[in-house]
Amino acid sequence: MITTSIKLIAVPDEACLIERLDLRVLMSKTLKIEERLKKGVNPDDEQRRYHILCDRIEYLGNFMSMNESIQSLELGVEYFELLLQMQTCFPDESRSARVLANFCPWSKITEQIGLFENLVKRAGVSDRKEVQEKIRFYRHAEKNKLHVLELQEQLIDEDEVATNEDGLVSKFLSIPVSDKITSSKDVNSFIALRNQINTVITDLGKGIQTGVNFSDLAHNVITEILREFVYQGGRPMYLPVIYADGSKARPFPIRCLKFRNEKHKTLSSHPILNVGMMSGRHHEMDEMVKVYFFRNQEISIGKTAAESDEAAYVRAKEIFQKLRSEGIYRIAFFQTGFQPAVIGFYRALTEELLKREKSAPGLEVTPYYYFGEEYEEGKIWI
Amino acid sequence: MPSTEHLLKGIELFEQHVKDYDSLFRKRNKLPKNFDWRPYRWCSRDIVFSLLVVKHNRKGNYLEVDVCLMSNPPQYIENSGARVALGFLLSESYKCGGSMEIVFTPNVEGGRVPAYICDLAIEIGVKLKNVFEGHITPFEARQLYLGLAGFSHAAKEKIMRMAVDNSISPERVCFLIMGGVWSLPEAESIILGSRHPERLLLSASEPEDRHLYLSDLRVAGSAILGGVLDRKLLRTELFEGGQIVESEDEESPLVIEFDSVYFAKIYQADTELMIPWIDENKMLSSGHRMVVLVRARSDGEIKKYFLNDLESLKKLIAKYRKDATTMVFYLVPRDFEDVSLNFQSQIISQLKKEGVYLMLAPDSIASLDKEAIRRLETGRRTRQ
Repeated sequence: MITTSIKLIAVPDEACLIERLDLRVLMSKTLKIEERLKKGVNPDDEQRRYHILCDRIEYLGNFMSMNESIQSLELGVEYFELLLQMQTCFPDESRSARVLANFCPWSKITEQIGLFENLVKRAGVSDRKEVQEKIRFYRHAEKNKLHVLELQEQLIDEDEVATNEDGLVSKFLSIPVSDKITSSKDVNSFIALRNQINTVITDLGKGIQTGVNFSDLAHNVITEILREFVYQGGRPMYLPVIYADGSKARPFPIRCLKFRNEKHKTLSSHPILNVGMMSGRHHEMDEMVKVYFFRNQEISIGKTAAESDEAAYVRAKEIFQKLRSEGIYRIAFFQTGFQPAVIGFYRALTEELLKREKSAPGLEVTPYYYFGEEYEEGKIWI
Repeated sequence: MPSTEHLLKGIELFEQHVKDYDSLFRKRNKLPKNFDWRPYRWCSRDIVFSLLVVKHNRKGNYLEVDVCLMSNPPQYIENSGARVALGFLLSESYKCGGSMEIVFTPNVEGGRVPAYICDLAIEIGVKLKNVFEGHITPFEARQLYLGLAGFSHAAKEKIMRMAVDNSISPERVCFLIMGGVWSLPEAESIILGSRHPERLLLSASEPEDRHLYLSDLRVAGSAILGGVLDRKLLRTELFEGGQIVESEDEESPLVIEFDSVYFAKIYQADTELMIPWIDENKMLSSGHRMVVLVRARSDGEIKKYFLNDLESLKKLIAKYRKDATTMVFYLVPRDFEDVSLNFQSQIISQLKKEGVYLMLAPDSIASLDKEAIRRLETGRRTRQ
């Protein structure tokens, strides 16, 4: 079985240049890409460049490690397992502490090892031998102005793995999966989506892994039925969301808001702002609206529907947060049928309204469904 | 077997769907959506295995089947038409993001699960409970999919373990094979030959998580290197119109197994096969075995790890060469050619001493990496 082991090497500044390749330049370029990746612009191209640069850093590192004067430390297979464990429990912190990166220039060692120490404490692994050794190695590099590279080796672990686990088949068969049949009677789309969500809620209660598939459904159906569940009484919960391309989006909060007519009355004297959902899609809508909520370019970046949903959700959250400090907004939301943007928008709206629940009403959204030449008014979200 | 009446009605309906499809999509140069009726004809040369018309039912979130006709050509394995049809239906159901429930309309044998599919379910050992209602439930679909994918007992156990641990769904593993992202032997190498196969099969690592990504890339590269050899051995050439052409549908009868302890592949042929990428002309005789230690290593790694690999080869010989006809090979990428000539000859002579043949793949580590990246990317766009 293939296993992965990690080895550290410490490189002095004067050993960084090999033929025309300069480790310092490679590291600096790679760090810049890491910054650009955080912004999410052209991630595919940036990731490709990142891979090439990391490859070169590793090539140089392997070459340098043959030099006996270069200090090195074998952290072994268990350290890699530890990294995996940390990444699973603290994905964001692991990335910001760069624990999965293969290099650390001297200028970043103090910051990086500090973050690493905090992370291992949180993960409860600070007393592990590999962790202690790594910290010592980095501190030594910090003191002696050395750059650190983390190199991988693929080893073959020849231990036999035990098979034939008792009772595995029955455990597998008892994983909750729906064994019921769905009625194939033709019902209208609103009832069908309501039924689907109710089935998913019931299945979730039984521990069945499931989700509501919003792809290919009309945007008015999605919005109206989601609203029904958001304002429904009962135990608040998150509804798993999937799309027809199979991607899984962030779950949608339901049964979490209370509709109060008095809120609507309070706001009724304020002017309404006509807002289109997304620019560059239906130009005939341009004259109806003052502004578009999303720029098409910002949202249609995902490779999967879930990624577009996430982009819309993150952007909508940013906008709502900004609106909070700007006063009262009554929005007539002229929407069209790009499902991931619709779900992302209403997820962010639900969370925003939830945040504002205890404060004076300041945000109201009325959907207007675009159907070619006509606009149909939906129910208010407040 | 369906009645003649059902068959004729099914063919007529299929033709109608094809006409509708042509006028709605092909003539308008439009692509259908998942929820549109889409006709499919599954053939090999002039043999039709299955005619299917499917759509994703948005309201019920299941796959709806309006035509499901299958044949059992005698020159192919038992239930081959049903295998093709069911494999497609399950994969399509997964791809559309549905619940994995499959519903047959009244146009399919009067609204029941087709008889050939029932036969296949019995063969796989899955009991269908709603045959006459025309439904395959998600629970049944999961077992059918896993049975149909053809995993070895050990791989199936590992998949079940991963499903129980909730680390990856068996449907995704099956889809990656049926959808052509990984071949079955490649997937077996990943599942049995690595410590965290679920990460690779989920394409869970981003390039900026370098350690995890590189580790996945290396395992993927090893599986692909083995896969390149599989395809080379399986390839059948035909003599057609005075030219040698590669057969699209016929493969050499070859059993491929995987030894997870050494990351080695074991091949057993039912016919005589030319062994590729070695320095001499050697044939694998029918009924004989060859054992291949797969090592996707760069030139530096070959130098560094050769002695370890030699030890593994010695253990492999002890394990498999009880039968004297078994040949043992050491498969490395063509990066071997970048190793110094002196070291190359040392490797060759030590291998010869042990009776091991050096097998040089035409691919380099760089090309294996490129292919691994492509597959990880494809996996990332596939339903999780």
